Amino acid sequence: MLFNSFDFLLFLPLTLCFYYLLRHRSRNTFLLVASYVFYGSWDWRFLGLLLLSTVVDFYCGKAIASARGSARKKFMFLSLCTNLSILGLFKYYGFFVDSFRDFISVLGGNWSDSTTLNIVLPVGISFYTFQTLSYTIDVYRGRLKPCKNQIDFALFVAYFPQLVAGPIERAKRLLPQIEKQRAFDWQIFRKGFSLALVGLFKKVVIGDCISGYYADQVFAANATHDGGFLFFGLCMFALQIYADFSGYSDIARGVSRMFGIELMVNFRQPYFSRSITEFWRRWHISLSSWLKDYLYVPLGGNRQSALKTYRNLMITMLIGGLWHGASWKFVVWGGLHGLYLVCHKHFLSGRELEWELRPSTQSEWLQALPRILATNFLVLLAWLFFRAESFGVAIDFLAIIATAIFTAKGFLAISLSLLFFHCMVLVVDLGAYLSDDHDFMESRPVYRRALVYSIYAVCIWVAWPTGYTPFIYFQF
Amino acid sequence: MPLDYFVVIFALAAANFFASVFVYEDLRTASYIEKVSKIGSLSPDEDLDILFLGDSRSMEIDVDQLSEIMGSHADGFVNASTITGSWVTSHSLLRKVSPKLTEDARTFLCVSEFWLEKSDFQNAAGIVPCWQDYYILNQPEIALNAFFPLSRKRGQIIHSIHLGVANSRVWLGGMLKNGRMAWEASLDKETDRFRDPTLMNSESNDVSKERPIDLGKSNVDSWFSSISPKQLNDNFVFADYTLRMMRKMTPQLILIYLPNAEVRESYVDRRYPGRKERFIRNIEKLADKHGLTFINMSTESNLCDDSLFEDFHHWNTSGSFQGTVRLAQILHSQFGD
Repeated sequence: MLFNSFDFLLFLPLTLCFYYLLRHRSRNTFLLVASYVFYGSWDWRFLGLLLLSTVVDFYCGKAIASARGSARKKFMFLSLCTNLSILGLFKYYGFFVDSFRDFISVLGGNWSDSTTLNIVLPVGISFYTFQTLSYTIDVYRGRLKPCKNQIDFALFVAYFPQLVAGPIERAKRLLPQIEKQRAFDWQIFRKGFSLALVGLFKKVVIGDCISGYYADQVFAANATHDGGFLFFGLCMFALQIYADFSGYSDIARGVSRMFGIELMVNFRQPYFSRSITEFWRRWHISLSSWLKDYLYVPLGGNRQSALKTYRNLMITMLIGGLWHGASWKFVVWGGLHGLYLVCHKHFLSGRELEWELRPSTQSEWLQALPRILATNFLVLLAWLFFRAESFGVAIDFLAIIATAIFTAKGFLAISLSLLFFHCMVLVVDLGAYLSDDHDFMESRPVYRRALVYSIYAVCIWVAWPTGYTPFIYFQF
Repeated sequence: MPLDYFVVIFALAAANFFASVFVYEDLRTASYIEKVSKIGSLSPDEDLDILFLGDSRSMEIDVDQLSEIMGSHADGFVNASTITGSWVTSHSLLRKVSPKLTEDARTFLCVSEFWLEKSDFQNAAGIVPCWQDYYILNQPEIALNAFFPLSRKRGQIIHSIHLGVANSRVWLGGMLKNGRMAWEASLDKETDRFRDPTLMNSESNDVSKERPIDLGKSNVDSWFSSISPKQLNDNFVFADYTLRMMRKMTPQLILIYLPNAEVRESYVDRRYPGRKERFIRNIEKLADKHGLTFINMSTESNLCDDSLFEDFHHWNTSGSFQGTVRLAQILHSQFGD
């Protein structure tokens, strides 16, 4: 069931109505059942994996908290093994087997195909595995008390607004909200509705239009395109993936608010970033902060020598790349970002990045603009590896772009199309960036809100998909 | 509810009103509306003996001539076929006309390959304003879309915007003396393959040599777009259910498959081997299941001659005459009419 589907348009109001008719404890049970229905609508068989992960981590969490000495480590190990095995088998088994086979063939050997399994990737497996892992790790580190109620914990793992594509929530934030009694608050509800509307606009109007009319077509048949068109397609993809994923996150947060639960912010207008470090503080925040807290910092973070810091950054970003998909192109994407971060870290040479200070005056904007453009160019380059069918295709594209970027026919016409969608993203994002508030529209005069929401609603209605248009991050 | 949301609801209602009044109907819908109005204009005491339902191919059947050959009164013969007609439009028109059908009236449902072989056809072809029929035929989502003009005309609105954007690009490109965008031109080549005989030559070695120059128009490739086994099965189940519902309204339902130009048949055999045969097999299966007669006129080689067609599918005047005469003969021999 997609957020931008007819099924969900029926599912959400019905769930909300029943939810608010129930008492607190029954609400959580009901929300859990609704979440399982939501997830099971893709493939009910994968509910077993979700349940396995839930049961193992619930009891491991309790056992870790009550055990002493090495027993704690054993339960932590059990939780890690279970979750990473599920992830490894369903997401990475084929990739590693294929890579090993290629490696053997490079060495001149031959390896039979019989070990290859055709395993379907369960939707959202990377998201809920990381979320539930953070719970046991936090309990192990003593930062969190184990959850006492099975229903509450199961809801923490399976909560439907963020189950399949995040944000990857932390137990410390989400569990207390699930446990506490939630009363209907009209102001919060309408803020949630408005946020979901903005998210739908980003996904359906910007993301899907770019995908259908531009990005997919340019990337589908590279042979006939020159460098300029490929670069145009790449820019379009950069806008598409942002509109698609941040749109999804906004809908998830908005829908969750309607149930009285606040999810973390996942995007803070990343294309306004003035450096690559700032970009990673604004892009997919729930993943980048997860990687920082559970991988980069345990590896040593920046507490050791500069070289070790760079090593830690590279490892973190390579694993971050691999998290996105079982393919070398994602590893290269992560590696490129790792390299960017290392360079920027070296450039900063110990200075703290004041990324939260936004340019306000004209001269500050003039200073920031070249940095914003340079950062976007680097990000764009990395997107090429993310979007192309394979690593080899990405290299071919790169060669075409590098050798013939200015040969596109109708360059002004292309630029105008690009500018149009840039402006759409800008219109949606600029207010939020300048006010540092995703709900900035709520503080605007009522006539302005009415006008903007009306435009959003009519555009969404017109662009509403008639077929299956999944969110890009569902594949991860 | 706060004022801003009231305005949103008002804006949505206004947008629907605007779409219903100012956005033009596509060819398919216009044809459907025309047939609905034709049925509506039949006098209340007029009974029908013969009804044709189907797509633009069966629109070429001349019912006046048929009634003349069969020695019946022309008023009792109606051809309610529509452009890009389908199961839904046929069901809808039958529902509207069924009170006028006599007890032994025969209803001919002229089927085409895209009714079974095309994926997501109900959406892709465009939604016609018959929400009750979509609902009756278990398509609630499309029924809802058919109810609201803004949803139903979504295709035309997006097409107009896209056309506007493309035209402005051409205009800007022309200003720069660079012509159209390269990828747009390549897309046009794909869709225009059948409009330009020279393009087709590169796709299929000898088809264009066989084809008369005026047999230009065809959407045959869209009829045979790739389809998964699940989608194929869904189409079959939908057809099965629709036939069951139609049988309730007209007991003497006859399935008919009209011929196409020979050049089209050979092209399909070469480019989409087995697809037409599978379609015929599935129609036969449906006919057997519902106890219906299936007349396959594509086996009549003298009706497939290219000279009888104005394009790949549609009879010209001469083809229409000969086809109608042959149909009268079949009716006489099979049903004694």
